[in-house]
Amino acid sequence: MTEKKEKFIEVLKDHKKILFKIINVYCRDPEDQRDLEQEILIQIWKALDSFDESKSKLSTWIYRIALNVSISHYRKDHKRKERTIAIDESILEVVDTNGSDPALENHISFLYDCIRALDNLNKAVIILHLEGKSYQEIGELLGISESNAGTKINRIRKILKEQFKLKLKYGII
Amino acid sequence: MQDLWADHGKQLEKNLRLNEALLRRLNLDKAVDEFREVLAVSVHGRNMAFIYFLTSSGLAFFMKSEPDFSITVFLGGLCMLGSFVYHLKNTRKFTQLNVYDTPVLALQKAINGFKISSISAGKYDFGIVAVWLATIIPAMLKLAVQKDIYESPLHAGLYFLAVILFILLLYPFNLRMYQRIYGEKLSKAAGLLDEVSQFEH
Repeated sequence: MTEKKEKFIEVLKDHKKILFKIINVYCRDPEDQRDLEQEILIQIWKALDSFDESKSKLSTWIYRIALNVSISHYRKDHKRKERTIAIDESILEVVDTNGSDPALENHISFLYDCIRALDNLNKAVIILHLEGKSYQEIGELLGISESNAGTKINRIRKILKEQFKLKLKYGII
Repeated sequence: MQDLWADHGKQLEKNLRLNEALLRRLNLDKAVDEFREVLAVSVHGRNMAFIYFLTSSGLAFFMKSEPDFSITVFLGGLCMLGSFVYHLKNTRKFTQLNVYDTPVLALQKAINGFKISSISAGKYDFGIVAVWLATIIPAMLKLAVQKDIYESPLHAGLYFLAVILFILLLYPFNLRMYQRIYGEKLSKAAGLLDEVSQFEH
């Protein structure tokens, strides 16, 4: 096993959760999810040699690749659908869901739906915010100013809060 | 919301697995995708060659009372048949290939072989199309407007001069097209396979 392969698998193991979350936010359909997953992993594999630890943290680098690919994937989605060979399995597999809390699942599923309804940039902003990134980090990752990131987060939080309130009011969740 | 997201993260920590076996197929699928695109172009060209052969044969039969036309048209059709047989042989081994059961290096070799044979066939393909057109156009003119260009040596000479000019003008474009379809796309496929090969060793 080459050093690159070991590093690649290690990187994926360490960041599988965030990759799973980003893919699920940007694509709802399982086939599209697998397609986006492939695209992200290919880009990570290709760029792995050029990753420079002195310039950025590995997690920041992964976020950047995954978000950039997701946003551009969404744009090219129609074109790609015509030519990509579908793979029936996923590299990021959810296994053994026994024992998971149905209420939590329901809430999470609703949160994903709310985030999916946002535009591509706002999706990225809220994912990074929920992942605990600072306004400065979000700004740097997405190429927007720190204050713009803050404004966007406040606006998105307000929208999501309203949606959760409405759902709670009508007893759906 | 952040708590909910954090709980989701904890749950994923327990339930999410990385399917390492599937990772091998990633670039391979992309490479195969590129390769199949080119193969589809080649198969389409091959099938068209057979249709052109049938067209020429039909026309030759229809004009059998006029040997000037029927023989030349049939000869043009035979050239097309030759092209069809060559491409049938060239594409058959790839259309029947199970890419997932073929070792990456063997697949790389096969793609490079296909690239070389397709590019080298490019000039012959162009020549065959030119001969086919040169033979079928006079027959079509005769049928459609009763114009016999073989009747006047001047007309026949001008016609064949036009055919030669057409060949000279379009030949560089044809070479570039073959280079783009077979050269660039297949090189990309071979490059992707190279990455798979790196990944596997």
